[in-house]
Amino acid sequence: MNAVTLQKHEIQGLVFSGYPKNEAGTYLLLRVVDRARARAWLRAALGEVTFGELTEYGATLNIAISAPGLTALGLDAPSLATFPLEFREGLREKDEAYRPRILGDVGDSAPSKWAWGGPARPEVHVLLALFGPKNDASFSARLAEHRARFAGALEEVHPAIETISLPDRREHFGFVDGIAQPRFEGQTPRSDASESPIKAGEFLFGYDNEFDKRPSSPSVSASASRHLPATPDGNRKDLGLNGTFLVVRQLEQDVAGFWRSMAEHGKGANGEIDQAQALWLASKCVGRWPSGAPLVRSPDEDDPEWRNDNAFDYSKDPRGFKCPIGAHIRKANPRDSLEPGPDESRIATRRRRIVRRGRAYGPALAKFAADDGQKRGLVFVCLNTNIRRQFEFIQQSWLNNEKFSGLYEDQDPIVGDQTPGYGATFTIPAHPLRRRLVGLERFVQVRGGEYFFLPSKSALGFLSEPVQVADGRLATPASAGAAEVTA
Amino acid sequence: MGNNARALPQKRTGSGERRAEQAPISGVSAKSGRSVALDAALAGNALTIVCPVLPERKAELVALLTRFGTSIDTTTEMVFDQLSSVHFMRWVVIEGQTPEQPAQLAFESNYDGTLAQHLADLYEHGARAMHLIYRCCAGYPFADAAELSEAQFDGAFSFLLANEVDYEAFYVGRRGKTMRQIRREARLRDGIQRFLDGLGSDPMRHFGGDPAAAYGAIVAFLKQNHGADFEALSEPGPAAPTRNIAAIVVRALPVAALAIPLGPVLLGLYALLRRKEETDVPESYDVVPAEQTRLLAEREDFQVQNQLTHVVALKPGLFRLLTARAVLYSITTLARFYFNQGNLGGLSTIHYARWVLIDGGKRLLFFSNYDGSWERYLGDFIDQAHVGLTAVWSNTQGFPRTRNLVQEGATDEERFKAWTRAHQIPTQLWYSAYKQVTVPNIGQNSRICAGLVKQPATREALERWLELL
Repeated sequence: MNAVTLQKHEIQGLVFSGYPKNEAGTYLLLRVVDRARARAWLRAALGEVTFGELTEYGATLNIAISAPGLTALGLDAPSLATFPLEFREGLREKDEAYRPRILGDVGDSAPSKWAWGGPARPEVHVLLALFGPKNDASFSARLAEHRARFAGALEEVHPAIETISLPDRREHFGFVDGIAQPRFEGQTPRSDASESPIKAGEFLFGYDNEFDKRPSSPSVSASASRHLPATPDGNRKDLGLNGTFLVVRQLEQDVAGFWRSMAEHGKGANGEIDQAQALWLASKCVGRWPSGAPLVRSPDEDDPEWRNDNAFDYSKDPRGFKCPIGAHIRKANPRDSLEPGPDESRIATRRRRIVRRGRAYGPALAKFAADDGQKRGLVFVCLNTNIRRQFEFIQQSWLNNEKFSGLYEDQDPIVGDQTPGYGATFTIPAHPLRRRLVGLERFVQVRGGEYFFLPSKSALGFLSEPVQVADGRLATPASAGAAEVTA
Repeated sequence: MGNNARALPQKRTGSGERRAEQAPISGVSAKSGRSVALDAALAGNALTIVCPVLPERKAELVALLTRFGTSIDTTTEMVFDQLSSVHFMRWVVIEGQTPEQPAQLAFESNYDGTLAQHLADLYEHGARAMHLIYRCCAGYPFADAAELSEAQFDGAFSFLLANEVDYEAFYVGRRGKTMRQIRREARLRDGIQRFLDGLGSDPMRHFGGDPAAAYGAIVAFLKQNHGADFEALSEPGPAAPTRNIAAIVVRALPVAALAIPLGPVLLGLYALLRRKEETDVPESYDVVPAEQTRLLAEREDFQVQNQLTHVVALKPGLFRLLTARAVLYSITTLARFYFNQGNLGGLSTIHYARWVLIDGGKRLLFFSNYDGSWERYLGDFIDQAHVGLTAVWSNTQGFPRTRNLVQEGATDEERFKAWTRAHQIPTQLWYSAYKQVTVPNIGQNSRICAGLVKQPATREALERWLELL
């Protein structure tokens, strides 16, 4: 049915699935300490990496590598230069001259304050995503085994981030998450598909994207590898083919603070807390009810009938009387609602989709419960081939943009950077006069993050080829001499 | 402005259209408080001045402009905030195409009123800055003077106008709005919101659900706290522009009439175009050095709006020059008579944009003052306005490959963006009179203020007005 055939056996399984059956998950953040041994480790680990579109899977392993990680593994500078600038600069960007500003990573979320990935922290070279059915003894044993295998080659730069599965795929504020997940061409279609599949090139190198062009793919010189496939022009070897970029951000959620704020804003005329009102306000901020039911379907109360609905648009709610213009899901995916009209809007939106693979961490906390002092949040993970046009665009031009779609001062009420003071407002259109929340605080803070490359099987193979010794120095196959280390 | 307005020295002949927009208005004196009915054309005009820089003073000029540009709010040599005629303004140093060609200083402003009033305004609030800047340029008559006396202003004006360049195409997002109106209406809208916010998150509760009570309270609040702005609303301003298809037809007819006898020639020109399109060399992906992108990106996204200065050489030969001019003439005609309602072919983010030919038609200079991020601006170009843009820039060097003048080109997303960054240059000094106001905000503020001037008559009309807030 689909014209596009993906080389699925070459593509890491995370592209196709977040492995929902694997309730347990651990992210390991690693730094290369010995290039030759790290490559040997990668060679050995390759057999365990999960590839393909699987419906049945046991424990899974996926490996992603940052720009400094590629260098640490021996990729030479000219090859690294074929990667886009934003990937090379990384999420924190060396001088913090603009990327943190445009992404809203400021104040308490500034890279200088991050627990990992920030300028004050060691470089993160390799991300290991290890998921298993249950957080049991066998999962722990597997984790210990991996640690033993990379010992001496890589070291952990931060305690492992253990994720959990909250019931019904909820995130910590209590809302069902990840409903509007794009499907792409070549992927097995879902029975309830509500939109036509996005072009595969938005999420994988080597295939046409939404502009009917192949995204420019990182490459190495023709002589660098015998195994990598050739680029379309035949002049180089394609390192990107069947790979993609992985954006990882650890987002800490202040659950108690969020619900306290909603309760405060929803106080009745008599000054008493009204939990139903707070729930209504929070749902207005999100654009869905906790069950996942979209507000455009059920504006007045949570209706679990609509809980997984993704087949809606904003054509009957152009001014946001049901779902506010500034609601999180409307800003993150405006569907048909952007200027100048629905057709143009759908085109623009399809060119900015991301595949989300996030997982929650930290213990659950009930709505309206007092803070328990525990850290919790979301390890936000998304896939895209053009970080600048997809992830960064959504973050900068939609979520953090207070002028989104004719608004004035409304940043995203859930994840916006909420400039302190009067700046952060949230407008709830209503007949005949709007409601407006003023002085919204920031309840989601960035605690770490990095841009990673999620290589194909062939690319991982290339990066793990044995290091060769030349002239008494170690040289990698990627170049005869450019990227050497002293033996 | 006003008091310093003086008769302009004879300006060299510009295009007829420009001159018509500059028709003087009698008895203008904002300071005397006399209300004057301004013609729509007297809001948001374009001035472009391009002059060679003295090589020995180039470094000084760049440093000076950069200093002003990074301290707009505190610079004493020009008190930007006091300027009463300017919407957006910039100075940018453009390198020569060859080592022999001196760098040039380009100035663009989008101003209200007559040219004489605009220059008087610049010198009233920034004579020292103007003098320090143009002292670095060739042909400036007072290069050796430490200070500029008021008696020398006429000489300075003559110098500036001698270097004026006409635009090929000019777009105004909100025609017929003066800068002071835009600021005033934004203040009033903000005032209303602050007032309502003071009544809690659900202010309608406060008015017992009565729209007339809400309206009355808002008006009373504004009269009390924003009296001057509120009173000024009833002063007549420039008329709002309307779409004028007839004017487009009038301009298109002679072209169409020529096209019939010239049919064979046009076919030949088309064949020539197709051959050129096949053989022109597009730039490769990696033409943009990382440093260039960083240099530009580091200066972006500090406020709601951004600017872009772009300069690129035309492909050689008369054919490309004439094609570019014809396309730009079509754009400027459409921009003036059709796309005058806050959007340009689907783009609703542009406040002011213009194309100017420099170096005797060898290079095409583009200035834009737009809302939001560069990535969004370019994305809008590609998603919605690629036909017009491809038609213009396919006549310039390195542009992604096109077909039939308007096809492909800008839709080659990665190449188009790389090409744009590669020919974009850093702007040393850029000023916006309303940093927090977008084009859609201007329109919405106007609708809100229209309801303040004349109370909506019915309950339904009152409710519709309240929904604007």
